[in-house]
Amino acid sequence: MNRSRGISSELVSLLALAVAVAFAIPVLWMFAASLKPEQAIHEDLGSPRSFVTFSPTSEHYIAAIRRGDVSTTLVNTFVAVALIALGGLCVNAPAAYAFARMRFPGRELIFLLLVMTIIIPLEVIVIPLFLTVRPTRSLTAVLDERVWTLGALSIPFMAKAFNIFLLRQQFLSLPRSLEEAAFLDGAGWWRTFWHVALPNVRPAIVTVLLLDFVVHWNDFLWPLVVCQRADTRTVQLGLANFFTQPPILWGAVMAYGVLATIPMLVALVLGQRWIVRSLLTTGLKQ
Amino acid sequence: MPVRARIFLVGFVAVVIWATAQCRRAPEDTDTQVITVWAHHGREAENLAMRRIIDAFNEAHRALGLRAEITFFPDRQYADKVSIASASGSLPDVLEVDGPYVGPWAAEGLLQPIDDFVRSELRDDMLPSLIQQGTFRGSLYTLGAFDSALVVYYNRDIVEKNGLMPPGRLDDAWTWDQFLDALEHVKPHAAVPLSLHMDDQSDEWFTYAFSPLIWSNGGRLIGADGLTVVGVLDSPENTAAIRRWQDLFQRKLAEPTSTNPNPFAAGLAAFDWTGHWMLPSFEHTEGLRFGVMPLPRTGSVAACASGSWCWGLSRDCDDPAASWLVIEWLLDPEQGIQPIVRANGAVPGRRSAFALFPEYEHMPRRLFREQLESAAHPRPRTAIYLSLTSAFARALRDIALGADVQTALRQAAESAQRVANRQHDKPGPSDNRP
Amino acid sequence: MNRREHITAFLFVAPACALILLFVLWPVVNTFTTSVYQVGLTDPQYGPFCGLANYRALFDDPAFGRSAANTAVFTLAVVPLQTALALVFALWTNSPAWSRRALRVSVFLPTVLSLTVLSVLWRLLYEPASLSGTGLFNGLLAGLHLPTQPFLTSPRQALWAIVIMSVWQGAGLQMMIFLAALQQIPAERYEAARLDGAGRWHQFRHVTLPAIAPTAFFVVMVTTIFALKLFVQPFIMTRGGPEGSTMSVVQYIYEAAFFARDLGLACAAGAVFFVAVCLIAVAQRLLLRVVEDRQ
Repeated sequence: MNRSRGISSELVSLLALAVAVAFAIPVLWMFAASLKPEQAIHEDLGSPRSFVTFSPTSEHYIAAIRRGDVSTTLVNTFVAVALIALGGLCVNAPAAYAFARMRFPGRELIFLLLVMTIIIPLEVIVIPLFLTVRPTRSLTAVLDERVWTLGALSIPFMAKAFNIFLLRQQFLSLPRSLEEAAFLDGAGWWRTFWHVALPNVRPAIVTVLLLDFVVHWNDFLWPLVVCQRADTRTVQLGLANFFTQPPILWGAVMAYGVLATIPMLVALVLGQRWIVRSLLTTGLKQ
Repeated sequence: MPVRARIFLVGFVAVVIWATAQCRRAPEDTDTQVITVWAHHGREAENLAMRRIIDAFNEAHRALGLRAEITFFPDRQYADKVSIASASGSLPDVLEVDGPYVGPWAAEGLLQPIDDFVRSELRDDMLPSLIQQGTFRGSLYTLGAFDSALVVYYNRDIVEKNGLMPPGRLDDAWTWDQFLDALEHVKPHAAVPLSLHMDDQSDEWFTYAFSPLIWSNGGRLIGADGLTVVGVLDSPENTAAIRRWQDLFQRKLAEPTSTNPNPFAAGLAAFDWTGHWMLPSFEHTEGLRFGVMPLPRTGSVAACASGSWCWGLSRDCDDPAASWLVIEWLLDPEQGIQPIVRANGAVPGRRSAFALFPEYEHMPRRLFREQLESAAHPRPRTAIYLSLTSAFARALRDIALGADVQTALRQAAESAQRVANRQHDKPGPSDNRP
Repeated sequence: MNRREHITAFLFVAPACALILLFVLWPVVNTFTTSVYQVGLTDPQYGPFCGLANYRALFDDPAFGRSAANTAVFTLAVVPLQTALALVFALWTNSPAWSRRALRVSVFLPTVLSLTVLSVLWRLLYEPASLSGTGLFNGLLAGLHLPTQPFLTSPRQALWAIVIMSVWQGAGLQMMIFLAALQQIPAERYEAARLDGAGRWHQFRHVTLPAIAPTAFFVVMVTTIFALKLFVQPFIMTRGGPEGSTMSVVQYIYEAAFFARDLGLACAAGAVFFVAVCLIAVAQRLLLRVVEDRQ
């Protein structure tokens, strides 16, 4: 019985791997194309050969770096996104905690209003939003253009109802006994939040940071509106430049796509391990 | 806090500090007056040439304390970018405008008239098609350094070897039947008989490339008032002309979608329906022997497209006189026109500039010039141009995939008409002038 | 005490609320106020007040109805497919085995790529069989001796092709949220159930499902909203065609603003869209309440 169970679990593992490969096909295709000579991409387009290359080339990466100025756009995007994620945590986590634990007049109503803002698509409000941000452009008299752009890219997206909702769910799922113990020790709301509640939802915090990273790394419309100069562009704008600007070489576009994705992958790999680890070390069971 | 988090935080702070330091390094020269210039992203050689032109301008005007700063935007974003900037009062001083956008942008007051700066020598020296393109409701808004040419390139190794002799002059342009026959003739010898660039991401390509079919058959895209579309765009002549175009796809002579943006350079296409901008790269493609011919006629007259990117002053420009110096430089035959035309293969925009380009006496460029002087049509100058071009492009994409021509054109006409009907009669800035 | 709690709560909530008020709600209010004026995209000032004329023009336009229908079909298809797929993957990959971890990474991978890149990529993969080049999917179909498909070039298939691509792209994020919920379930509960002799299905039905129900509701709500916002995929892959079959509401708004340059009309469409989305969210909430009461 043990033996047959071993075999069937092997089979399930194999199946899992097969599904993993199937799911990754488009991404593998992209990676393979970024390493192939342009001619070969077209020749192999419809066949399984499109996943292999017999004469790998780095020309597409060189083109992406030289023509596409990837390094500047990557730095801009990284700083803007990190500002959103960290700044967002500073405003969202306290709000989520208050909605989860504190009693104050209008709590339900305010929370409902906040949650409803999740549904507002940026595409609908982009012009009014820009009109809101516009007056601050006079700050460029004292601030550098890049600093202003980074602020304009990040500050409007720091507070986010989605993240408040997610963190609130986590705070709600904490056992009250922990915080009650802290209160009995004479801690106030702030200390309880900072020393007891926050450390116990660490996985959720990492998740929220990662979500911010993923969502805003791929922002397109807002940077398009805000970035006025070439050296303030984000990586998605750089990419859009790249694939609409002739000569369109699919290999170079795919190389740019790979380069634009690598930082996300790194964040993800680090973050995923961290989620697992903090889950294991938290050891918080009812 | 876990070690990993601490490392991440320290690293993050370091990057922020480094990035901020980078920002600070930009030298701020307070004595210089900066003129901002926006341009569309052309092919790479074109952008390099444009940068060099601006550098030369800055060199020559340093004593005057003027410096031009140029930023490029890709075609597909360019119009959106300008709209958003204009809504927020942050347009650049000097603006590159695609020919057909002169109408809408002038109507909305994004551009200021340049009549006062244009001396009569300059006006008389420009190609008439460029004056026509830059004029809206009686005022001149833009001038361009070059104009465009739309032709059909053919691969000599495929076409001539099969006994075909495409015409080199406009008067000898093939009829549509001759063109279809020729394509059928080369079909067995080429992977793609005719490349039409149906994968183009912009709507503008479709209006630019295929409006000549309509003009050749005596039709129009929009009424002379710039506001009547129903009954004009879907007229019987237009339907007939576009049906002939649909034959290309139904007889598998051209593809309604394609993954290869440039099959002609790879030697896979026998004919390529495209513009002057491909000429320099075809000339530099090893082993490609090609010729050019005028567009085939769908009706009794030969028609070709014209219009290209040109320069204007925006309404947010504070110092039009200084900014005009940049445009003047861009239109200078030696400083502006020569380098850009060498880079993009377009037709020089001033008659006096042709002296610098002996190659316009010979094929293939002779055809470019001949077309512009005798058969060029500008795309319509109307305030609703963007809706018109997007509706027309949508119809053409559908028709290529097999949609009914009459229905598709009628729907396009109705959709553009709806926008036209909602156009409030806003007085253009030019209407105040005597 | 109560008073102090109120003040503290206010300080906790104020920064987030202020930012959302300024950068989300204020623009929304502006959308509604703009929708009753005649105003062009680049006009520095509003034109005359025009009451509901923009709304009338909106509902007269068959393209708006078409785009609303497309968006509804897309949402109704994507939400159940994506949620079910995400749940299956979350259950399957909730295990330390390395093959499951590989699957988890592979499913999550598409969500970190930009939709712009992926849309360009999938357009190449979906390319119909043609003279100059056939896309991978049709190449595989042909290799298996199955009929090739037009995918994005057919008015009947294009929206479904986009549904498949979107489910593939979005399932990973939802899977991660489900996983987080699954890992919150204490192992003791499963042990207790097992001691009671519950089988796998029973464990799932009576331990897992109740524990992740709030998350599931949340996932459905968020997926619905993401689906309603459909824009990038058709905008890049089909431009709303063929024959309007993939035109979405957001694209309609975008075109009203940037092509027709009619900010009044665009804001009217935005306002209608906003109200519709709110109603859908409220309806889902009510539905949840009914389900909860019944249990």
